[in-house]
Amino acid sequence: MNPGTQPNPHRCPICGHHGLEQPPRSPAGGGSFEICVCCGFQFGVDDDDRGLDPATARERWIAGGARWFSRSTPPPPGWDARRQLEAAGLAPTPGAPATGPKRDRGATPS
Amino acid sequence: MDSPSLPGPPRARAIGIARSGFGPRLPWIALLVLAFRAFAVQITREPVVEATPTNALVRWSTDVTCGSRVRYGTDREHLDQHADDAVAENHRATLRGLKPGTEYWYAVGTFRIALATNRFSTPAAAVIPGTNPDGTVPAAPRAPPATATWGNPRSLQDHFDRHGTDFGTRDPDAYAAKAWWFLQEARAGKHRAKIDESGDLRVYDPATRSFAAYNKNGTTKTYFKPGRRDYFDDQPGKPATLRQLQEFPLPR
Repeated sequence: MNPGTQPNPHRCPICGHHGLEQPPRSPAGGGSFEICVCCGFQFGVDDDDRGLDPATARERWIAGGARWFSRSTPPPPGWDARRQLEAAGLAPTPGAPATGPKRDRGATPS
Repeated sequence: MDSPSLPGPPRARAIGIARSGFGPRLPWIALLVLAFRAFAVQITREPVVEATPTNALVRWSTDVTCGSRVRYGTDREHLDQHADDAVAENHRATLRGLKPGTEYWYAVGTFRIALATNRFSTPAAAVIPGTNPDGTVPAAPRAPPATATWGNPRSLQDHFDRHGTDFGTRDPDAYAAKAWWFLQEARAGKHRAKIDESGDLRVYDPATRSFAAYNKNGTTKTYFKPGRRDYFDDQPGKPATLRQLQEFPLPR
């Protein structure tokens, strides 16, 4: 099925792209094995096998330049990763780079 | 459950001590210590066997961390083969090269002792269309085109980009063809397989650590080599019977 033509695409919880053909997890409990064309996260593999949680996967994708993943499915015209993340409420907090060093335990929040 | 007698190494070591002149009591003390340690290990979950015509996975648990060994054979009195695995509390060992339709005796235990004995039978080899009587896949015509075998052909390039090197394939079509052949082998009962509530099939070959998932219409969802050894066990679904596998669709 073409993600561009399906009636109810699902949103990727990693990058916010609204184009997954299936929910990330099936009712049976397993991953869909679908690869997000935007960030390249594979549900049921990157999480269940490689132990990546959504926040960490998102940090890595952003740290890698937030590039469009798929070679066979091009990005929509005018695609912008930052706007996509912001629209999905997944953008890193301003002033706190997603890939920056972790705050020391016990440090006083600014 | 039977508990076969202690095997050679501890006894041999004790005799070695006796010959070395450390006094008459030392060997007996050593034997008592060894016996105590041996019997300190107890099974907390009885062995469970998942058998295909040629392989069997045996799993069991012990109350302490110890070695994993399954001694097995067709004669209860001569368990002349063994399969080992890691030191663990939750044990698993894969017995390979079994004969289809054969009863095997086995004893699970540590590297030193056997803890429980039981038996299982391998299913008869499936003779299904497209396979040889011995379960091998004949040198057959080519796999169908990827457009027929891959669930979402638009995603094939992405799956190949991520996993193609796992199988040494040079292009997406070769990668999809390998996934199709893997399903053929699964239908012949050569690999472990599970079917979940929605009818999706998951197949795993521990020998090559290859994993694939298929839609209920037989098309491929993904094909890769997991890094975690428990990955397949953690997947949803129930072990597929040989009949279910034989009846699972194969895109042509």
